[in-house]
Amino acid sequence: MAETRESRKSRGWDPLQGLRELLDQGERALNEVLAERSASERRNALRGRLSNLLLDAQKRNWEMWARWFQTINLPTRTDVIRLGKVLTQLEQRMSQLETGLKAVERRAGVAERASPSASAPSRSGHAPASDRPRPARTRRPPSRAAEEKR
Amino acid sequence: MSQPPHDEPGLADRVRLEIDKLLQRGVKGFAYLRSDAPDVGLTPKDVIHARGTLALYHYQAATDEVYRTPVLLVMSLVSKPYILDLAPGQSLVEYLVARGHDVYMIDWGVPRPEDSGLRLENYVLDFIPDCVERVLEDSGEPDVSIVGYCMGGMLSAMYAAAHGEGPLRNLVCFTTPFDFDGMGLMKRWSDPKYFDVDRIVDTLGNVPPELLVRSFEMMRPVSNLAAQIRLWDNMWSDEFVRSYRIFDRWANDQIPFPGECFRQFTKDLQWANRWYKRELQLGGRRVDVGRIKVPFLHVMAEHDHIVPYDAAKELADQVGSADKSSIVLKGGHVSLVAGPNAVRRMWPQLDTWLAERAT
Repeated sequence: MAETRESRKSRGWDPLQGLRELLDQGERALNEVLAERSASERRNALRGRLSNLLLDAQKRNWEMWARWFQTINLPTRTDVIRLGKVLTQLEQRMSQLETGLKAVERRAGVAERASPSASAPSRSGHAPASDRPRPARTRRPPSRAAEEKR
Repeated sequence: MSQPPHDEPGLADRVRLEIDKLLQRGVKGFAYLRSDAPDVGLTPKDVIHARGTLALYHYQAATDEVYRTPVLLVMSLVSKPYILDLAPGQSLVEYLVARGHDVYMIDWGVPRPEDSGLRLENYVLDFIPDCVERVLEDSGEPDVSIVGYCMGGMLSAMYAAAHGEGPLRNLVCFTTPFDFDGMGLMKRWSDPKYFDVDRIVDTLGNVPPELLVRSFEMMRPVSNLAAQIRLWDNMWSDEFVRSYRIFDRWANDQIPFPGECFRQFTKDLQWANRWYKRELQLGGRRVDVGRIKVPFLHVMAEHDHIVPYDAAKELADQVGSADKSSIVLKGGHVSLVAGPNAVRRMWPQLDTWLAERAT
């Protein structure tokens, strides 16, 4: 995204050019040093301990809220996730039914539909599922099209 | 008659120019703070299939004739797919459609808490084959080319390896990890001695996007600050600001990683490197990269800090196809697929490669 050195040069003398180059070089050098340090054994161990600490706190927090919700007779996070899973299964079942219905519709419609122009020719001979007019699937790569013209 | 040489601006002109830029920075900087994020993913499309959070898009054709073989784009699990359809003039999808390809795309959507049980098997053996079937049905064609980006490339290659006799015609992977010993910082950060993946998944379910964004930022810890300075420096340029905003929006718009899939990714791929060692089993099926026999192209970026070259370079060598090649282009993980470098370098090569194998 940054400007290229060539494009900067082409604009002529620029008093801030040195600072920009310094920024590029500083960024590269600091990135390298800091990223390398972040992967040291000591930092990994520290990050691991901190992460475990935060995860335990998060878990305790959720457990506390779950107990509170149960006390006041409201669904907990686990209940909502369970409900979500049931809804997902229902969605999938509906999607399967929808697909089945579409297939039946298509099979029934193929015999009646007498408009071959609505779909482009295809090697497999199947009609495209959507009714939107489609372009012909006959495009050739420019190199081959030129050869064929010759 | 030759043109007179263009004089370089003198000191007075340069001072005037810098003052002008300074004023514009102030005015445009204020407008920048007040304006909404730019729109993305604008190439016209239809949703031809939806399942849970997954949506399968079909992009509307822009030419009178299209290539016979449709192209299915498969995105990474942790990034929004609009990186491939950023904005008019900066969209790979728009480019392919304009060049006569019939383009489809899998958008995995944002996994919900109840999706935390999804595993690699769900993606490789169920979702991708299902979408491929839908594409074949919709296009009326017997085969399809798949183009996968980053982890989407890995899922696509796993699909190709698991479905040797399937309807896949061509496979293209962009910056796809293969040898996880080459993953550099990511590999070292997930050292099994300190990185308790079970505790993360068992506690959180899905891995929150903030964790992923921070991890990517930690790979280049100073780049955010440097980017802000560059933004201020270029605030006078509408084109720079627009481009910055689009990329910044995408970089911060990551999505959760489905928990079980993350556990599997960490244990089987990062730690045991089973995909590279050809020991990966999905749903009782051995997923061996050598079983990929279709024409294969792998495009890698020279300065990729997320999937380093060392992690990606061997994929093409190990694929069993006779027609296979890999290209290393200048740029990084994102600039390979979007932005001015991609428009100039990668897109035309992809178009030519696909076109020659799409009739």
